Parts: sequence; C-alpha cells; structure tokens
Amino acid sequence: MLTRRAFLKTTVAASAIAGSTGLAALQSKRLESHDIPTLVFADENNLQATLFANTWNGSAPLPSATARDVAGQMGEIDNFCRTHPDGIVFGLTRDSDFFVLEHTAAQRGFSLHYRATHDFRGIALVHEIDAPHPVALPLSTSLQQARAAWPQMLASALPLIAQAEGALTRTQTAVAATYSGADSGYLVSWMLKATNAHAQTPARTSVS
Amino acid sequence: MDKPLPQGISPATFASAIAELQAVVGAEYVFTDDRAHLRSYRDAYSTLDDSNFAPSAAVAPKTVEEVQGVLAVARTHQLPVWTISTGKNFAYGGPAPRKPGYVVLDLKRMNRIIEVNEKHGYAVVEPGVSYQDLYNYLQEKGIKLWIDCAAPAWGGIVGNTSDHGAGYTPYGDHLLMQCGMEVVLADGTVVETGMGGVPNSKTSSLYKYGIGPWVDGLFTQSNFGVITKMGIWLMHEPPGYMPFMVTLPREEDLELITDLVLPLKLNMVIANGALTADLLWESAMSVTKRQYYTGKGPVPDSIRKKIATDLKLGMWNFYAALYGPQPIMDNNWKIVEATLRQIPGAKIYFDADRKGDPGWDYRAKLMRGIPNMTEFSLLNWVGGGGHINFSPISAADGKDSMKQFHMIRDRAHEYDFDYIGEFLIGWRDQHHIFMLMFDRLSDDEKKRAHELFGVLIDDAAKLGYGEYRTHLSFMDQIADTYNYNDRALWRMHETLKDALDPDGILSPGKMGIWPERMRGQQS
Repeated sequence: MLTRRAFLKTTVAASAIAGSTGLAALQSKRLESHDIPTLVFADENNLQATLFANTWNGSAPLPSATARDVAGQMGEIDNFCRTHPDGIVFGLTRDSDFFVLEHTAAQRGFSLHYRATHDFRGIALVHEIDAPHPVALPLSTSLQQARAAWPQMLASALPLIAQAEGALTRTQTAVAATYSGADSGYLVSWMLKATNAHAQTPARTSVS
Repeated sequence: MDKPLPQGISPATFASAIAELQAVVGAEYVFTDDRAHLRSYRDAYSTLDDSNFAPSAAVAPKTVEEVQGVLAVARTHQLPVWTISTGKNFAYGGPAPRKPGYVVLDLKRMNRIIEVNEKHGYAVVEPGVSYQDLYNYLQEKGIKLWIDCAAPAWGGIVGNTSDHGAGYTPYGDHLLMQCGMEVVLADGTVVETGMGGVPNSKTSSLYKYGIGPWVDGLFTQSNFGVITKMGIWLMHEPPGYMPFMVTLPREEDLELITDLVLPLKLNMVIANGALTADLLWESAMSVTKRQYYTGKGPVPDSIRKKIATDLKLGMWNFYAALYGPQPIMDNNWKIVEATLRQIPGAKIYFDADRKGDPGWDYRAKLMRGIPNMTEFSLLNWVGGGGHINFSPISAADGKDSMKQFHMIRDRAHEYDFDYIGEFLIGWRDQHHIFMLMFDRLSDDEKKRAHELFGVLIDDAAKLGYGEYRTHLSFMDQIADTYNYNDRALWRMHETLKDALDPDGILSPGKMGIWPERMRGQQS
C-alpha cells in the first residue's frame, strides 16, 4: 500500500542496481537533489509487489497494502493529487486496482507516464513496457537481466523512469519464470504524473 | 489537434463555441487538451478502438444557470453535448460519448447533497454525488439511513438511477425509489417534475406522481433533458440484518432456486435485491483464471469443479438477506430455510462462516448499502481485463433462467470466452448480467467480444428477450430489436426528441434515439 518518501533517498540505490543493468547509460540523468512528493501503492497480497514496496521503502515498515477493496485508497490518491500537483504516484498492483486509481487521479489532471504489465505465462514471465522512449529499451533489458529480482530492480529504477521524457514506447521481453505456481499472475507497474507538471522543475515540497 | 471535431462543425465554429463555453463556466472548466484531460473521457473497455468515442472537449458547469448557458452555446452552434454525471458507467461506455467529436457535458462539479430528511427517509442530490459521497455524509452526520448503492462505490446516484441501475437492499430498484427531479430542457427551461411543479412544494420528495402525466421516466436512458437534481428514497436503518448465502452444487440448480425464491420475493419474505451468481463471478473475487487454467478458451468443467471445491462455492451461489426486528427475522428465516432445504446438496452460510472471503464480504456490504470497489476484482480474472455487460431481462422463472443461461453460455464458449454471470431478482423479473470479460490489451479478444455481443443481441431477440441497458456500441442494434409495430415505440421517442430538442444537441444517439438532423446517418 502506501508509503511516502522523497526520491532523493532512493537515487543511491537506483544507481547501485542500475549500474549493472541496461539502465547504466542513464545514470547521468537521474534525479539529483530534488525532493518530490511521492505516493506508492503495492499489492500486499502479492510477493513480487511486496518485494517492490520493501525495496522502495527501505527498512521502514509498510503500514498496510492495497487489499481486495481499493475503495480505501481512492480518497488517499485523490487527496494526494489535489494537494501535490507536482507529485508522482506509482505502484505495482493488480490491474483492477491500477484501473481505479488511474481514473481517480485523472480527475486531478494526472495521467499515465509509464506502465508495464508483468505477466506470468506458464513457465515464462513476460514484461510488456510502455515507457518514455529514452528508458524503454534499457528498462526492458534491465528487467530481463534482473530475472527473479525484477521487482527490486523496478523499484530502484523509478527515479530514472520519473525523470524520462518523451512519447511512450512499447517494448517486450520474456524471461523464464522461476517462481512457484502461487506467484503466477498478472501485475501492473505504473506511474502517474500531472500532465502540466511534465515540463516543470521538480518542486521542493517534501512529504515524509 | 489530433482529436475529432463534432460532425458538421468547422474548426472556426468549434473554436468560437469553446470560447463561448469558457465565458459561461470559466476557462479552467472547459477541457480541450487530449493528454491532460480528454483521455479520461474515453471508454477504457470499448471493444472498438476508443477513438470511436473520443470527445472533442468537455465542459463542467457548476450551477443550473451554467448548464443553461452551455445549452445556449450548443443551440447556437448545433454542438452535440453528451451528458454524464460521475462518468463511471463502465461496461456501458463510461464517460465516453456515442460519437467522436461530441462535447462531454460533465456534471461532476454539481455535487451538492441538497437535503437529507431522516424522518421521511430521502435525499435530494445533484448529479455529481457518488454513492460513496452520500454514504460518507450519512456516516459523518450520524443519520440512520441506508443508501442502496451500485456495486462500484464511485458510481453516481443520478447517473445510475437514470440508467435504470439496480442494487441489493430492499430499495434495489433505483428508479422505483426516485422521487422528483429537476430537469433543464434543451431550450433552457427548468422543469420540476411531480409535486415539484407546485411552487414551494412541501412534498416533492414524498409523492412521485403529482397530477397529470408522470414524466420522470422520460428523462432516463434518454436525451430529452439534463437532470440537475433528483430525490431518492433511503431506507431507515433496520433493527436487524442477517445476510446469508446458499451454494448450489449443480448448474441445473438455477432452475430450482429461481422457482423457489419467486414466491418469497413476491410475498416480501425476502425483500432485498437477491441474486444468483455463477461460480466464476464469485471465484474472481479471490483468484485468477491462470491460477487454475492456462489453456485456451473457457475453463473446462473439471477445473470448475476444483475451483468450487477449493473455494467452497457452488456452480451457482444465491445471496439474500433478512431485515427487521429479530422476531420477524427469526420467523422469516424458518420459512426461507425450509424452502432452501428443498435443494439437494445446497449449503447455507452466514457471516460467521465466510467472513474474510472477499466474495462474501462485498456482497454482505452491498446488501446493507455499504459502498465498496471489490467487484472490480472481476477484471483480474483475465490479465488486462476489460468487460462489457450483456444484460437481458429474464422472467423470474426457472426454465426461463436456464434457457437464457444456456443461450449465452453456449455462444460465449463458441467464441472462447467464459460465461461469467448473475441473475438479480427484481419484483417479477430478473436482470441477467453476462459479464463479457476480455483482455483489453488484445485486439483479437476485443474483436471476438464485439462480434459475440452482436450475435447475443440477435439470439435474444429471436427468443423474445430484450436488454435493459447497454454499451454505446450496441445502442442502435438493441433499439432496433424493440421494433413491434414498425418501431412504434422508437418512432414515438423520435417524436418527443424532435419536439423537446429540435436542434438535436442533447446526447444524440443515446439508446438509439437520434435527432432528426442525424437520423439515418449512424453507422
């Protein structure tokens, strides 16, 4: 579910992980020193989403998670988007939760900046990515190389994805899944930003 | 600008109209930027490319006067406006207009809860008020009234009621519980219906009919006016509530449960919007298809049986509730239990048996009017789930239910889709909702879903069934099935349309009702 923290705290981790992946070339473009308010969603009932959230959140405990009823999070995302028009919302959730949260945020002028589906198809895990052009292919490569650690890699790459600009470009990569049947499923990672904030300098608002 | 313009409107005229709309509501409430705003007015679940329903702009008035101003601009330029309330009518088109280029008249900013009367049990609301909004208001104020909500909490009360939506408490027939409305006609005239026609009326939310013709229904599922206010009756919080669930082990049990429940409904022993849902609908609340089956096409029977065993569900699952003082519930339960025990293998569950089961929890909430969003879990049944609902009316009759079930299931399987459905029991009918679930990221699945839906409309019509509600794509086809006496009913609608909206500006094509200037041009 939701954790809030400044992007600044994650850029170090991002560089550490991305340095060994296809995202290495993008290191120079990572966010520098701006704190950007963020709101993060993760499906607590899913192992990969929990790994994603834990990576993002560091050692801080997760307050809770998106449960089977996303109604509880609608007010939170609406309030965040209303009070932080310069903020960024992202998550690794079930598709239905993404749908509801995206539509709720859209009422505040937030639109899709990045989305990827993570689809366990029998023995393969297929990542299908719609990302800003500069990061689409490197991200795809990184996800492939990360193999089972893809949720952690994804969480670490979020600052780079957030900073990227350009039209969404679709890439797809498949890797052999090494997960148990219980983990088979379909997740969506996503990022929403206020459309009119794309060209703005990151604000200094900090949310802890 | 890559978005479409309204049919017959030049770029210069459109620009003038937008400027005039901005003067009416303020520039910040006229939306023309596709990426920033208009994307959210598209239909995410369309089986066609969503550009077929892409608006050119949206305008969000705050007051009746601003609605009048918007309609004046529309009349001047013959600008088609498509009215929405909260725009969450997903599965039936969401906020999207019938044709590309329309201007969405978005009433979300008209979101006042104007009145709540606890003694008489009603509320008067504007179109932007959602079920969650009204529920929160009642909770915050400690008002002992229940709402009856659509399954998704974000649905609008006015929008759902005017689309003939249904809920799950004893007040589940939403239009039946509607009392009085304020409507802005296309020419800007403001009409109060029913008792509201009397100035300073003291009973506009108490008695539906006033004197003379009762016209409220004319403004539902139609394009004859813009509803800007509505009275809705609310149920007094009962002293007791006892939801229950019955799992039915065989597909053919649908016939028996339907016939057994009808007398209980007619005699109001079971007073609420009870329903019978199929296995997969209930399963999708907690598991996904691929956890059990990764093959092509519908889930095989052998797998269905495993799912039923694992989740303690039936091939059909009946949900209902009793309400009232304990002695009355106790007495009624004796009647209900004796009836349900006639079904071989049926198992009865209560809250203590299934608490924590997402399927049970959300049904138990809905039957006592607690809004939630759990039903969206259905979309996870297939990855990237989208859905449109095929919604024929069935008799509350066992054989009729089975006939419709077989008709739809067999066609769905023919097109490689699962049957996911429920029968919501009304006073004498059933709303049969077939949730046609497809991968919205798959062009092939969308194409097959679109074809299947069209075939089902024809199949149903041949058997004498019509639908009660539908998606944008199929409004014309379904309207054409209501063709008794050379479309006499729709010709009457068209006569009314031409009289009330001679410029043809209001939601052209809604439910297959086209203004004269567009009639016969639709594709």
